Amino acid sequence: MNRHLSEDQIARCIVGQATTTQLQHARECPECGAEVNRFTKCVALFQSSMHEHIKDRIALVPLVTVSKPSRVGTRMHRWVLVAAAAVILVVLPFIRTGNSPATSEAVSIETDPDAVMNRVNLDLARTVPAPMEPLMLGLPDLNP
Amino acid sequence: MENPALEFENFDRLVEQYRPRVLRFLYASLRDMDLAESLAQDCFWNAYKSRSNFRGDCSVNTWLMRIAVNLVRNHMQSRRFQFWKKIQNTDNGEMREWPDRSISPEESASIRQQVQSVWDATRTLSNRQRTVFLLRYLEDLDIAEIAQSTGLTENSVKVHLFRAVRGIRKRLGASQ
Repeated sequence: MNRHLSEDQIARCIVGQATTTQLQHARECPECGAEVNRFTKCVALFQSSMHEHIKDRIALVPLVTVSKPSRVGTRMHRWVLVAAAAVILVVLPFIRTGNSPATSEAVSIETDPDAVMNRVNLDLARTVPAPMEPLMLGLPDLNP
Repeated sequence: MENPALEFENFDRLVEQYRPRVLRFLYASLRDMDLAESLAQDCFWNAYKSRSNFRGDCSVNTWLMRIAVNLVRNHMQSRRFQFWKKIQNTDNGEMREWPDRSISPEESASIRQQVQSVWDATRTLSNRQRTVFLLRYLEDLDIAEIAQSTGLTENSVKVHLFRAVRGIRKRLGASQ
């Protein structure tokens, strides 16, 4: 018994796929036996630890029973969808009228470079800001 | 073994009985307790829906494990998992203190380190190797049951198990 088991042979001993000779060697050789035992012990500790961990978790979190989804819940869900669709149908015309052609035209004008320049020049020529112009029309002319 | 068909008579009892095993396998596979809880619910819900298809050619435990294995597989393949895998980078899968208070803190620390090493080593395995390893060494399923749970042949299970053990030993050797 001069040669120890190889890594593969030790792995085969652990998973129960070793030959009789290899198993006998593992039983009789202290070093190879220790290798097999070390792994087996580590795995057993892992198993115990995981079992305890889950046991603690299950004690903390109550059991969730499996049941069919309630028909009331499904009906409610449907009613919510129907109500949402109705609201959208009612609100949609108002939203569409908000988007008047004039607005879209203004946007299209502003994309033209010449129109933008004209608009800038017009703004610079104003004596008062555009929103105040209607008010200025109502005032008496103070210039001599 | 109890007649499998009778086990479905009281489904709540079945859930209570098998929940620890299913949850344990899912948690060890995914390393995320919230996700494991969620998939455990899916597992029992799927089992409930398809209970009429259960032919009794395997145990209920094996059947539930097959559903759990499929859920893990689907989850691993999903894009959502890929996303989380990128940003999550770590898991909350850390083992807590060794619960046995009769041993010293040093021993407890040593045990905890060994347990963590095994668990960390499972991360380096392929999904299939990890599944086979966990079913064998965590859930104590035999080769035939693992084959039924995973849909692999028994020979294939043996090959994956051998490679998994060899990989974990290599990893453990490197970490010590």
